[in-house]
Amino acid sequence: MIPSAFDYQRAGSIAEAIALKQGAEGDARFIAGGHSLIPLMKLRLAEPSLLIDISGIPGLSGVSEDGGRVSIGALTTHAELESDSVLLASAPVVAEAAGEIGDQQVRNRGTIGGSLAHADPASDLPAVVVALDASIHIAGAGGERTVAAGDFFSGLFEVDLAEDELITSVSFDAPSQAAYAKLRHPASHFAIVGVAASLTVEGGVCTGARVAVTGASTHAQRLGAVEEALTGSSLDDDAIAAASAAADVDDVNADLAGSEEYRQAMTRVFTGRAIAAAAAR
Amino acid sequence: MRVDGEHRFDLSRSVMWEHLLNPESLQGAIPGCTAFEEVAPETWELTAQVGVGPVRGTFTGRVELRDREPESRYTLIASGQGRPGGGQGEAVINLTDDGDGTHLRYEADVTVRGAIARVGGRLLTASARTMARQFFDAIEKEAKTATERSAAR
Ligand SMILES: Cc1cc2nc3c(=O)[nH]c(=O)nc-3n(C[C@H](O)[C@H](O)[C@H](O)COP(=O)(O)OP(=O)(O)OC[C@H]3O[C@@H](n4cnc5c(N)ncnc54)[C@H](O)[C@@H]3O)c2cc1C
Repeated sequence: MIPSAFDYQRAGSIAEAIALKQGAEGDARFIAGGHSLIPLMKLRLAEPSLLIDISGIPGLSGVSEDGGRVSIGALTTHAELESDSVLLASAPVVAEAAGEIGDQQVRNRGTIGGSLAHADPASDLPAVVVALDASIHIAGAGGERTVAAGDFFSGLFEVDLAEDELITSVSFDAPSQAAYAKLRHPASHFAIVGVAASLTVEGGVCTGARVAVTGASTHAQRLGAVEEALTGSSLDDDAIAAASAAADVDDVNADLAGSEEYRQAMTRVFTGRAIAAAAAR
Repeated sequence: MRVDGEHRFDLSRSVMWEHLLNPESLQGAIPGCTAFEEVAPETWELTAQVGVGPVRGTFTGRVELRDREPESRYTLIASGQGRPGGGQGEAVINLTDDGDGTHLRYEADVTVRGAIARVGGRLLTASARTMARQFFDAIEKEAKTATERSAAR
């Protein structure tokens, strides 16, 4: 439980963090809340030679809203998301999902940027940002760029982020009705499966749906057949049951917490719950 | 642990067969492969940088190809050791036609030890499948480059 020796430097700005990374020899890694990276280091599954601490960079923390567009700084902790007044008013689904992450200590340290960059297949926020069609804002040596959350996650711990790039913020249009439903692992609280649903409803008819699952497969992904089944429906119990029956996942994970069959079945159950909760908002 | 999976290649079975068993293509397709040396017939020792996401390491290992049935089937026996742990496995690989392309199916029996085994349980199957996909994508790229090179001649 003791990590290998490593060097440590604190970056005072985004540019400094990127420069430190580019100038580093060996395996340098950014560290924010440390709640994914440090456990790996303690097990010696990761042995970085240098940690570049980005947690002190000013301007990368907090939630703001401008004309219905919500923006969350990468260093905002799960605990801050959970109780943020802007989110509670405009996007309670984010606060709800963040409040279900790990325990209080984890939420006090872990950040949204770290969670998205690390892309643990069982982490909660990836499903939420995919369902909200969020933009992920990234800074690198070559400047800034933005990636749609749906394109950001591509595989097991695989994201569209170069070694020397940082996530700076996440932004999305405040959803009209969205919810997150999660079957949590009893010990770690990671998602065995977690489903985020975001619905647009006009005159009792669902005119748009984005539904994403995490925990079930290698990475957070949309459930296209569910979205199709919901669109045009009246969101009554039968419609929700029919839509959640279409929640098929490719490459389902199997481990001690659940077999493929169990995860697939739970994906259907929690898809139904997320949709019902979103419809009731 | 049993790991199985499938992969589709755009290239034909005879081309894929050639590259899946060709030391040069193998060396090019194995991530971060620095050393690759034939130590016995059909047996190579190698050093590679292997990893999934945040868990990466340099591994030294041995690969052996056996039981070839040309263009349809072979067995790959591999073992490796690195700082995060070690492992060994045996995979049976089957190739069939899939339109103009090739359908590959693998069934492997893998055992791991060390830190990977103690803590990795949650993700071992998914990691193994991810590495298999990375390898097959890379070998197809090797095969495509080689095919284009010979076509240009
Ligand atoms: C006991 C325990 C229980 C947990 N339970 C849950 C759970 O139920 N649900 C859940 O979703 N998560 C859970 N987590 C994970 C937790 O949410 C982590 O905090 C989060 O995944 C990573 O955020 P971090 O800021 O701690 O990242 P760090 O550990 O600091 O970094 C993780 C990785 O992301 C990179 N990184 C960090 N920030 C950035 C950035 N801005 N730009 C680019 N790269 C960056 C780092 O280089 C590193 O590779 C749990 C963790 C623990 C220890």
